[in-house]
Order: sequence, then C-alpha cells, then structure tokens
Amino acid sequence: MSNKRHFRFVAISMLIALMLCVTVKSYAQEENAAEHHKIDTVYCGWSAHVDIASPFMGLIVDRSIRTLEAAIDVNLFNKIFPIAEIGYGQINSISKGGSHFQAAAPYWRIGLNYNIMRRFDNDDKPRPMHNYPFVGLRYGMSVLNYKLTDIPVSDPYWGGTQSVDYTGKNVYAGWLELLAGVRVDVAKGFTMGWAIRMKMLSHASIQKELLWYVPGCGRTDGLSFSFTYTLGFTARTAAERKKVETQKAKERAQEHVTIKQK
Amino acid sequence: MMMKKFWTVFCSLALLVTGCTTHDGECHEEIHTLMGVELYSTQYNAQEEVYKPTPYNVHLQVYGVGNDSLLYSLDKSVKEIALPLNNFDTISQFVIAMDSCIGDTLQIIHTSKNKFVSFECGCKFEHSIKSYNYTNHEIDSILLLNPEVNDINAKHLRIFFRTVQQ
Repeated sequence: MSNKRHFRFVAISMLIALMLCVTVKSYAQEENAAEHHKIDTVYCGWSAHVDIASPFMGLIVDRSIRTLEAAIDVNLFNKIFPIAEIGYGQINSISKGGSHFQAAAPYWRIGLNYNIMRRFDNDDKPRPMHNYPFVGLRYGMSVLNYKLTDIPVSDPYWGGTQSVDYTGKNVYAGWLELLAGVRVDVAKGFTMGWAIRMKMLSHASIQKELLWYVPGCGRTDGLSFSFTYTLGFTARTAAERKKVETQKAKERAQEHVTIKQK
Repeated sequence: MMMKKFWTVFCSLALLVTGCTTHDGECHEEIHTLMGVELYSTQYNAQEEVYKPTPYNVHLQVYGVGNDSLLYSLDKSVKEIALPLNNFDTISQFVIAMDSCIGDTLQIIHTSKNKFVSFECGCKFEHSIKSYNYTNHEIDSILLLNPEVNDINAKHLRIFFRTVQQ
C-alpha cells in the first residue's frame, strides 16, 4: 500500500472519528442542559429497512442501473443510530462516444444517523420519538469486477482508429456519504423513511477515472446524489414503548382538558 | 422552527450542488496532445559581437510528410506552432517551409501511450520524444525543451532559424 493510500485511509479515519466526537459532544451538551432526572436506557431498539426507491428508479429513470439494498440500525438513547447497510448493484451503460461500462458488485456501508430533534420538551418530559429527522454519515465500500470496453481512440491528423479495453477483477473503492432524512412510524412497528444522500468517492485501488460508476456510490466524477425511500420494521424495548405510550396518554389528556376549557 | 430552517438550508445546498454537478454525457476535456514548438532566430549583433536568440515571427507552411492537410499556411505569421505527433507510429515527420523555399524536414522519433481520461472522453495519447533529426536549409539548430508531450499548452522544442545579420 502506497504512502498516498495510507494518508487517505488515515484522513478518512480521522474524519469519521471527528464526526463521532462532534456527535458525542453535542449529545453530552444536550444532556447537561436537560439536566439530571432523565435516566435513559442506552439501548432503545433496532430496526430493519429495505430501500424501494433504488430499484424503482432503475426501472423508471435509468434502466442501465439496478440496485437493491437493505439496512439495519440500533437505537441508542433515541439519539444515535449506528447503522449497517448492504446492497447489490449492477450497471451496463454505453456513452455517447461508444464506450461501454459494465460492473456488478455487492457493497456495504457503515455509519450512524443522528436524531436532530430534542428528546425532551421544555418541561423535561420525554418527547415521543416515533417520527424524527436525522443527519448521517456513512463510509461505503465495494469490491467489484468491471469492464470498460470499446473505448474509441483515433488520430484526427495522421488517421487511424483503434479501440481500447480495460477490465479489472476484485477492484475495491471506498466513498463517504453525508445524508439527511426522516423516519416516520406508519403502524404497529412498521416504519418508513427517506433520505437524500451526497456521495464522494474517496479512494480506489486503481485509477479512479476507470471506475466510472461504483455500485452503492454512483458516478464517481465529483459529487453524486441519490434518494432512498425505505420501508421496514422497528422493534422497541418494552421500556421505550411504555415511555412513549405514557407520553401519548398525557398528551391525549392534555388535549381533552384543552377542549373542555374551550 | 428549527426543522424548517434545517430543511430550507439542506434543500438549498442540495439544489446548488446538484446544479453544479449536472452530467450531460458530453466530453468537456481536451484529449488531444500537441507538440509545442517555439520559433527563434539567432541574430548576430555586430556592435556587441554576439549571437542573440530572439523570438521569430515568420510566415510558415507546415504539413506532415505523407499528409495533404496543411497545419499552417503562409497566410499569417506565427511565433510558435503546435504539431500533432502520430498516435499509431513512432516516427512523425513534418515539412516546415518558409515562404516559397524548399523547406526543411523535421523528424521526431517518439513513443506513444494512451491514457484513460473519462468514460465520456475516452483516452488521450501521451508521447515521449526520444530523438529528432532535421535538414538544414533554413533551420540552424533545434533545442529540446521538454520531451514529454501530454497536453496542448507546453512548449517542447525550440527551432532556431538561420542567422540574420544586423
């Protein structure tokens, strides 16, 4: 591994560590502000989701790209959601110049989502966390086989044409993602969510330009964006369910009193 | 209120960045490489009794040997020229004629390799000049400035035309 790759790896690690520190710090500050009497459990549940936007977009918008992915996350403090995502993508695209790019590979991402909603209201009462907006960070990686073929090369003055091919097996690429989205309760543990993702290729084991498209990351020439719409199931701990139901009951009672007063 | 601000800022940034990174599937990079050649004359300064190289603005006709297309015609004067090396051969030869003179032949011996640029643009050729030969009708000497030809802006050769006595 070259020094340059070492440097990139260290830089990415430091960035992730920094984001985690910022997350933990801001979480700690919120805890201090909200003070003492809220004793929370660390583990509040887990959820599993499947992205239905990517395959849908593959069928409707761009038939040359097919992607399927799923994610599982853990709810800590109702605030931090470490997450692992796994998927499979394939592309078969031809450029205007006639170059042909094919790749198919599994990919995975790790990272976390951070609930940006305050967990407690002004009276230090826990707010129901069934619906929340979040920001997130991911590090993704894919090991892919690719074929970049029929690249035309010519000499406009002296004449002559050829075509050039590049192929590679077990080539790896890593990327970073920043995202923002929402998670919403639908009914009885079933949840849905959506997120906008901004992605940037970080490193690759070969010349980056050869990997025109990396499954899970998208196009690699600059920033790329994607949209995920997920459906899935969320399991909450008994304590968490009770806490939210109590809060909901209080809110219902409050509404009842308000209506009576009117 | 905080949420509204968050989404306003996020959506604005997303739109801005999306607008800046729109892909139209076209190639927007220069993929042709040219060998840049500076034209000089060595003028003898009788007072100082020295030869001084100075940029030479001259009418030239330039074309590749075995190729009918003119790269430069005598219509306008030039101080520098850019010559395409053959992508599929190791020898490129050019005729460089001043006015209606017989002209000189410049032979460049080089290697060529293709470098992938992007999916939209394909490959570009990069050349490395190994040696060069020339006839001496009007050309006095040639200086190799940079043997690596990998873009269209750099200067690689300097041609000194025959002395003009002041």
